[in-house]
This record gives sequence, structure tokens and C-alpha cells, in this order.
Amino acid sequence: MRKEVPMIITALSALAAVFGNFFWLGHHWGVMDLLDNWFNRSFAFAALIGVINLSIIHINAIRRRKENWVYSLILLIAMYGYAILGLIQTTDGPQASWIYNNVLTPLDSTVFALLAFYITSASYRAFRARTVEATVLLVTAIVVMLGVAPIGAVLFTDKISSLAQWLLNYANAGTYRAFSIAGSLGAMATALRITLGLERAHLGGAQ
Amino acid sequence: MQGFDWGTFVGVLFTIAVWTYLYKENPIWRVAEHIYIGLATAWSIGYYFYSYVKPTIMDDILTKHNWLYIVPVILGLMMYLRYFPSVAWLARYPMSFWVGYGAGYGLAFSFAPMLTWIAQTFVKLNSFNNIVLWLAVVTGLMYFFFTVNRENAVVKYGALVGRYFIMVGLGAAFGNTVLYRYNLFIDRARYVLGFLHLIK
Repeated sequence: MRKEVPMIITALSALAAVFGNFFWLGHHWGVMDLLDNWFNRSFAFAALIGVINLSIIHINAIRRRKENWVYSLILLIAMYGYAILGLIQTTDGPQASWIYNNVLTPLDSTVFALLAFYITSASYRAFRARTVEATVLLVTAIVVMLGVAPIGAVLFTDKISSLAQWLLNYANAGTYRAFSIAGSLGAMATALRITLGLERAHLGGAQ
Repeated sequence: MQGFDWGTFVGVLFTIAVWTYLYKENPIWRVAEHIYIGLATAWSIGYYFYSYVKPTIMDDILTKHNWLYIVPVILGLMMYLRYFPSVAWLARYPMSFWVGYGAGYGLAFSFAPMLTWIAQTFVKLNSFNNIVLWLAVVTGLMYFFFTVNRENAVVKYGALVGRYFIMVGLGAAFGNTVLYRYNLFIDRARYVLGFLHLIK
């Protein structure tokens, strides 16, 4: 019951997805529509897991007055306040939308934009061309950046963007095709191992 | 203060709060960070509730009496059993469904695109560009041959050439990523400077 049934569920779900997609009867019976619905909806019903886990961690931090517990309090107020607001007036409600547009969206974009600086410092370390491979990577990255950004055309005429485009269309496209083929083979092998019950990491280690 | 754009003002404050992290980790950044995590988590709750939970219970089950939709409700709720040690193992059931279904999807949808990519590689080797494209695919794949003896000269040197093509691919991906991130940063900078009327 604890290991065997989950393994059977895994195999049957995988086979149902394959059957639903590969065979006409699967489409005719609407197997995929039903399973897609089950997948998305069951996921939605489990969405509170994240809230519960965050609450456990941060309520414990507050109760034990751990260092920086005030931030935990701020997180809980923001999370429960916005969740209640969203549930009362939907996420499209006037106040909920205001918070989404003026707090969440700027925070989201700025955190992602922050990575520009860290990627620059990472590139400084990675791009110290110590080997031929690193030099190839460095030169390609510089050509692509100068070719795509307007400053490249100003500094080196349009030839740099032609070169960047050639790199992207042929050398890079071919390499990405190799990545994709190798990745697909790997994904299918892993999926087959999961279906056959050879890969059981998702069942956890406990009995 | 009539006509003052409070929304953008708050957005600018939070943008600057995140930027303070560039100096070093500080209380202003940590407040912004915790608010961000809290709001992002809460937003997903509202989204899932109105997109799936409410329609499933109120429309499909209670109104249309579509009893098949009780299955995802039970599966989803079973995940919460992980908080009760004596029955925590039951949470494996929904996890098994998700992983199995995902694996089945992978099996079903990986094959056709892969065949298309392979077919597209059968190009006439009558131009320099086509030769480069073909070489990049074939030698790039040779690099991933881990089950073939690398002592074989074709595989050995093919994989070596493939490594250089992979460096070209990674370099192009890195360059594009850097540009995208800077694009985002410039967008945020325009947002702040525009609010301060320093640019139009």
C-alpha cells in the first residue's frame, strides 16, 4: 500500500498520458482533457502547502524570537493580508490590483534586473580566457552582445551584427539542435525509468 | 497632492529598496525581500482559488454534478496528509499521479519534435553554412556519447570539435542572457528616472 500502490499509480498515469496522446481512441474518449483537468485542479487544491510551510517556519521564528524575527512578521502580514484581500475581492479587485501593479510587479522586475550585476561579476570570473574553450565562449558572447545591442553597430558598423546573426543562425542553432536531441533522449529515458518504477525518488525515503 | 501618482511612488520606493542590495545586505532590502515573498505566495493562492478551486466545487461538482471532478479534489487534499506522521505516506498518491502524468507527457511529446530536429539536419552539404550547421549537430551529439568508447578516433575528435561548438552555443546563450538582464535593468531605471522627471 505504501510503495506498491504509488508505483502502480505512477505507471498507470504515465501510460494514460501516452495512450491519450498517441492513439485516436484516447483523443476520442477525451482521456487527455480529463487528465489535464485532474492534473491542474489537483495541483490547485494542494497550493496551500506553500503557505503552510512558510507559516510554520516563520511562526516558529517569531515564537522563539530568533534573530531577525521581525522580517518573519513582515512576511506573514504581507502574505496573509494579501491572501485575504485576494480571496475577498479576487486578484483583479481594485486594491488587490493596486498592490499587484505597484508593489509586486516592481519588486519582481527589479529582483530579476538585479541579476544583471551578478551576471557581470560572474562573467568577469568566467571570462578570464585561460583555456581555448573559455576564449571561444568569451569571443562568442562579446560578438553576440555587440551584434544585438545598438552600440555594436555604432562602434563596428553593421558587420558585427551580421556576424552575430550568422553565429546565432548556424553555429548556435546547430549546437542547440544537438542539445535538444540529447535532452529529449535523456527526458524520454528518465520518463521510461519513472514509468517502469526504476526511478522512485518522488516516493521519498521513509516507509 | 492632488494628481500625485501614489502607485508609481510606491513602486519606485520598492525598486530603490531592492537596489540597495547592490551596496550590501541591509534592513531595507530584507523588508522588500520578505514583502516580495509574502505577496508572491499570497497572489498564487488567490489565482488558484478563483481559477480552479471555486469553479471545480461550485460549478462542476455542486451545479453540474460532474462527479469525476471529485478525484482531483481528493488528490489535492491528500497532499496535506504529509503533516500527519501516521498517514503521511498517503501523500505519495497525488505525488505519484503528478510525476507519472508528467513522465507520460514527456514520453508522448518528446519524440515527435526530436524526429523533426533530426530530419531537419539532413541538409545538402553544398554550402559553408549548411556544413557548419550539420557539423554543429553531429559533433555536438558526439560530445554526449558517453556509452561509446572514446578511444575511437572519429568519436574522440568529433567530441573535441563538438566541445568548441558547445562553447559557441553557451557563449551565445550567455550573451543573450546578459543583454536581457540589462534590458530589464534599463527598464527599471527608466521607471525611476521617469517618475523623478529626470527623463521623458
